[in-house]
Amino acid sequence: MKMRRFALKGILILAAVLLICAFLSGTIMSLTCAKVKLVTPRMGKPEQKIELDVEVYFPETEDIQPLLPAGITYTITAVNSRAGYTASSGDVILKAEVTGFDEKSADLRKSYTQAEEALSKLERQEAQLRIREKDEEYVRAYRQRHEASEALLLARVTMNVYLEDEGLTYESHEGASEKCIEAVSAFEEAADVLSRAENEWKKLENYNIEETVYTYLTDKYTYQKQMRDAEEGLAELIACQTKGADIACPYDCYIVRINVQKGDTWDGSAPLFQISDRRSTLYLRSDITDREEKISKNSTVTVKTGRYGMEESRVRDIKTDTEGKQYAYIDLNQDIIDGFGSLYAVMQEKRTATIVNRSQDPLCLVPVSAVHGSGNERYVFTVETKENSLGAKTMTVHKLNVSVKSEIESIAALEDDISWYTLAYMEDRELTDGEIVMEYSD
Amino acid sequence: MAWKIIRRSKKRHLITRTLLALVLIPVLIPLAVTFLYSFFSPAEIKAFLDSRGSYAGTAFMEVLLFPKTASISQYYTILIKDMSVLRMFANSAFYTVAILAGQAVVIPAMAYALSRFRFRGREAVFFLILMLMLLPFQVTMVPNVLTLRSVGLLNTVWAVIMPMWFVPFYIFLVRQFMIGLPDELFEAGQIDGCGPVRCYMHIAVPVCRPVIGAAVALSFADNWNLVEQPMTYLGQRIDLQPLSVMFNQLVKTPTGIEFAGAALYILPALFIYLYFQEDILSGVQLTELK
Repeated sequence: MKMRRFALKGILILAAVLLICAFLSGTIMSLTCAKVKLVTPRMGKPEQKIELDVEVYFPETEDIQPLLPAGITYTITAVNSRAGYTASSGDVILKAEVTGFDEKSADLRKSYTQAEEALSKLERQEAQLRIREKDEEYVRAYRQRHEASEALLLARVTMNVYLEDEGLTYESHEGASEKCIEAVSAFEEAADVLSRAENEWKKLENYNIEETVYTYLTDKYTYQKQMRDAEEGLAELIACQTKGADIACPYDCYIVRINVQKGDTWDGSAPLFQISDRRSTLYLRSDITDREEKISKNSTVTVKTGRYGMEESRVRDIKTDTEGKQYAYIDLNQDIIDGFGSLYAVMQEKRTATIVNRSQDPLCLVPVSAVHGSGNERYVFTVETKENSLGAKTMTVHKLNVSVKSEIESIAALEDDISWYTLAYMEDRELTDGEIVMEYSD
Repeated sequence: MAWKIIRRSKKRHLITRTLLALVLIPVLIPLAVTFLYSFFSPAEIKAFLDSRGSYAGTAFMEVLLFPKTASISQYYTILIKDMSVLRMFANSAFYTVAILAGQAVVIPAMAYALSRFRFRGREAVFFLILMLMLLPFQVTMVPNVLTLRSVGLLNTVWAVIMPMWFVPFYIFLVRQFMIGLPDELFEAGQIDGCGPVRCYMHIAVPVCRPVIGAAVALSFADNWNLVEQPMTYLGQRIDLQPLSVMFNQLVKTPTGIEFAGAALYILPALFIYLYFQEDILSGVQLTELK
């Protein structure tokens, strides 16, 4: 009886255990198995589209910056062009006038008149004075020596500033800059002039000139100099006014940039505008310093010109500038300019050019998430489905080493042809070789 | 003198026991090894089984006694990871239960009819049953296949179950036991108003419990180990095969779960034997006495 009870209990327990295991088997396997998605690689030519922000680039430009005398500034009265416009030789780009021309010319005329009147008055007052030739020579020599001395002082100060700036001395100024050398030459020239003036003065130093004659001659020279200066200043002012009236293009060109607007005051320190010879080639330039994609010369580029227009061009060159920035230069051909309407229209905003890199040979394409590893140790997991004698299928993954040619967005192109395999990807945990996996049902 | 007799008796028992033990050991070793190896890791067992064909013929094959790593991986695999073994186990259980259920209805009734009733052709039927009992399965296999195909039962579970309801040996066994039952038992029942069916249900079956128990146990062992019938009648239905058939396939290519599968396979037969042990012994004895 005991044995029967024992046997009965054993059967029941065995049945219960088997039922529980059968009930929980699926659940436990679902929890413990890695879940994957399956994908079959396909052969194809991977294509990569790279969008670049481009802007018009002029390789050769020239600054238009007229020389202005000291103290004179221009006021821009008219701007007849814009960046991107074309201009022919002689086309007036800007109109300007000397700032405060009327006031300045009135002051100069007044100075001249005053000097002239003062001189006339002096001549009348000292009409009876007897002037000898030696008197005039004496005063002239004195004045030249005085002026030479002032000029030497100015030249010496200028030279010392340049030499101090470069850490040199007058006695040893080898390797000085051009401007420094010019300042040294100017100083030496001024010293020569002073020396000659000193020699002339020495000849007349002991001449006994009358005080009234000396005063008369000094005043006369002063008034004459004032009249001369006023006349020169007026002439210079009128010349600037005439020159600034029409600032034109020297040759057929594109207007690259205009740095002033109507009403601005310009002192000559910066260019007024920039031009580029119309015979030079234009480019669309893009900064590709931080781009990870490979952009190569002669790649085909498409530029969208308007809603339906697409024009083709090529990457002409790829260069790195002195600051380490890398640029791609795309030919800006006439078709692209016509597509936008004009060069001015192209320059209005940043444009987009698209480079399409397409592989020459068909490659095996798989999702990037199916490829594991790094460097030269790249591998995928192939899925082998086995069916046992009862029809129950199990999927096992096996590691397979591959060579990755390129990765474009979410597609990896492999050099090996594994199109007959089924690959596992998007696994929910790390896989190991020989592991049993399950496929996501949704 | 008495103590000499006792000593002599004890010596005889000692010799008997020793001889029995010597006989028992080779019988029990496979069972013990099966359960022992079921706790080895699958990798270790697989490596051991792979070495079967490569050992030197002049030396004994290495026998593993202790695992490098004791593991229940084999049981985990067959009970959780790979449901194939359990599914085949369930097939075996289904066939056994269905056949036993059918035999429980058919065999005692046939034995009762052949033992308690006199009708024309009774001896001829019994003779046919004896002939069938003596014929091997291979002789009746082809006619059975043709019959089953013609009635549309081939490659179904009933092709295995239904023919086994009419096993000649158990009809003979129970019939021989029933013949030995005294007529007075049935007459007493008839006097109380029992007809043939009630006599069968209330007198014959309860009295024949030992032999029916023995028949159940022996039949269980037969049906649990069915091989030829499923292979013949279910040739195209691998999913319906019992574990007894598929075990052969499993062992051909070692997978490391063979011993756990074998241990699992042994357990139901062991428990059934333990339950019907007394009935088997008493049933056989009674049949002999009769």
